[in-house]
Amino acid sequence: MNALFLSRLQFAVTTAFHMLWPLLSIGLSFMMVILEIAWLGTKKEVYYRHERFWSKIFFLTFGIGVASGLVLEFEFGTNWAGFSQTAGGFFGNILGFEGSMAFALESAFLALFIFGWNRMSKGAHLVSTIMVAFGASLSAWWIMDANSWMQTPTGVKIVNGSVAYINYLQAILNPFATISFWHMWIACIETTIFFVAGISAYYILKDQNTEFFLKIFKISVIIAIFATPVQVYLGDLSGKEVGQYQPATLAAMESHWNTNPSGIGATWHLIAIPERSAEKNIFVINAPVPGLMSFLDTGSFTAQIRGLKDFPADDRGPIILPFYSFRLMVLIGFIMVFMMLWALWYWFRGNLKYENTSRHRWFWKIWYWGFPLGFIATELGWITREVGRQPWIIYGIMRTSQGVSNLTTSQVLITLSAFIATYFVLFVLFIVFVRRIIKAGPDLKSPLPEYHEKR
Amino acid sequence: MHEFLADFWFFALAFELFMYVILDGMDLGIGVWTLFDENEDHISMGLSVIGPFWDANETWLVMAGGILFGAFPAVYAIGANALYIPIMILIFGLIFRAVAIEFREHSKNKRLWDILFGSGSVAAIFGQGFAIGGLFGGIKIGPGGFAGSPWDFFTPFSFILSFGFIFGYMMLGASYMVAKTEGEIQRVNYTRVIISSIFATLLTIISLILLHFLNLPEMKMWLSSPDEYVLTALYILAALAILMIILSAHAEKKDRLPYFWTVFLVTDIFIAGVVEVFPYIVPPNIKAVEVASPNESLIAMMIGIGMIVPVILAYNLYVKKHFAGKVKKSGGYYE
Repeated sequence: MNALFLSRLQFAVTTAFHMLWPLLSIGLSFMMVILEIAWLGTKKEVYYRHERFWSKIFFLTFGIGVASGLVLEFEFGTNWAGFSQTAGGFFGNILGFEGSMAFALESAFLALFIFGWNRMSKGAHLVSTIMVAFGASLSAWWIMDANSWMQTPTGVKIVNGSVAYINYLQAILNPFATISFWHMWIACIETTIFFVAGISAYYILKDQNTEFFLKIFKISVIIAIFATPVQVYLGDLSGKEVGQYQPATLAAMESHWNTNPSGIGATWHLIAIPERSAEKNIFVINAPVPGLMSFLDTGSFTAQIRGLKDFPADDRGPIILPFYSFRLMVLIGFIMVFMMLWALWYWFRGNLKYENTSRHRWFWKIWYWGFPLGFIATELGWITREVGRQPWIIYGIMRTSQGVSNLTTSQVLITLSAFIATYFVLFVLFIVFVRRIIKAGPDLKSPLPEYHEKR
Repeated sequence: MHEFLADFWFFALAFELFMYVILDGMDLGIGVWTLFDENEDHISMGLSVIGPFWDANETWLVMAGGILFGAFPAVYAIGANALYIPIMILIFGLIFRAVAIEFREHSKNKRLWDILFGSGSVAAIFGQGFAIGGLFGGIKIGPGGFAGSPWDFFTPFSFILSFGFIFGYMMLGASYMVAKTEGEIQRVNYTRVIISSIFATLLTIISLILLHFLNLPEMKMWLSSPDEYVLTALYILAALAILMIILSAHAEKKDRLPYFWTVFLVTDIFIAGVVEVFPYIVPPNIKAVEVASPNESLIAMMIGIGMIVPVILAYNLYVKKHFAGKVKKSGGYYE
């Protein structure tokens, strides 16, 4: 254990924890916009009640997201001074853009979104809700953009340890940026609808406000019709991009040691136990389809995939972590597609009608337990992405070991332990309070908002 | 051109920090008072006052961090590396403050969250005080970046300065509470304004004296700087502002006056600090222009941040407009 390893672990822990909250707050804010438009458009109270109910969870999520996000911005400096000094001239700008264009917008309008119901006109409130959602999503764009630049650092020239010249367009629109953003944005939507549908399934199982929650369950399923297959498609595109721009990462993700001879496709391993010193897999279970790896990673069954042995040992990152987290993520992605199809089929057969809900308990139980799927898949995807980039902090330009600050081991050990302890408690408390909100159920009685139309 | 851009971002950074101090300083100050308050209704009232705004106020710190990172990456990197401990104290303080506000709403045992809210605020302010104190106390820089030890920031000067920050923020919080409330809670806060302003003044004077005694290199630089007349004028104005704060809080007639004079005082002191430091960003040896990012980056920030800041100010005013007037009862904003 040294300051480098501990700093990596600390960044991993703080990022993994932070990510949970924007996943939900971006998705929920998007859902609030849909609900508010539906409420204003149809005048049906149910949409308004849903918006208010879910906004309670949104608000809780948002606060933890803000606090845990601030950590990351400062951690670049505290723990990664070498990286910050080298890349700050571009990377820091992007974080600044996120703060000024997105985060500031989102948190200012949050006040009106949460506390403004009886203080403004219908239109003005809807605009506030849209601003919150827009700010949240724009935030994701800049953060993903900054991270993508670390993966595919184009457009920036680094001389003597600092940014000397930037082609802004090339740097912002680096190869990974667009697809990574959409992959993450859809992840937010998908995570949220499975979370919302899961909680709805809980109420339906208990037959508490069943009709009310069937409504949001169906809305979630409708969104899932688009989100789940699109996510599989975006995931596929991302994988192919990794192959194109980070061939060593792809080889690690596939535990692929030897470049396959031309004309004969590479076999896809379902399970592999790699042995680094022997430069081979000591155990594999292969997919029975010949050339499947080549097909999945390039679209052609016979394409050559460069093996790990093609890269100097120093340039090979960890294998097991990206290999398994990647596979698990893909598996969950497909489970979500199948759950969507199952729900759709049940819907057409009339099983989602109020009077039939008590009969299909397995269906509702599985949807109930599906509530954390999106969170898990996204975390796994992030592990694949970040561990896959190793040993680089800026791919091909700067090694992670060169980016670390000048810290003592005990310094980082203390803060890391404090983060783990604090975040653990926060996580437990969040669950406790969300359970409390869920147990209390939606408020269906309080008066509807008194909009102030002439202000 | 480069010098102009570098100086522009130096002042923009100062502006963002100033906004943060004025706005979140007030939130944190209200948080600190929680520790001296047993009355749950008063605490709820304080939370209602800051409830809609505290996270928007925190964005100014995030933006300041972004500007420092983007425009002066070496300062951000070496500074954060050197000030690891105070920054972590700040971060943990802000985490506890945030979750205390969020969770208190849903909790039956409010007292626990009040204490967390108060101590989180104290930690956040100490983090800031020690970070600024540590920066001015000098940072050892070697060829590979920061070359000092983790506890270099901890000096008598930074210690006293941190307490100055605490009372300064408490003064902001109490005077804002005076402006936003009425009745008994307002009277309590009038008294708080007087107490905190006296302590803040004493500590500021002590830390200035300490700065002389410690004979830090900055001091020589500052004493020989041609800005001496400007500084003298600013300090005289500060003395006037303190007098006005105490008088207006004692009179208890115009409830916006203490806040007005507190903001005036903080602004004045802040300007004095900026005048003293400029053109250095890490006194006494690193000038802003020497460590600024290349022009492309500073220009891009002009578009991506500089032009956005007026928009941010505009919509924040728009939002605030909806929450004008007194907060009637605790939970008043929460409908």
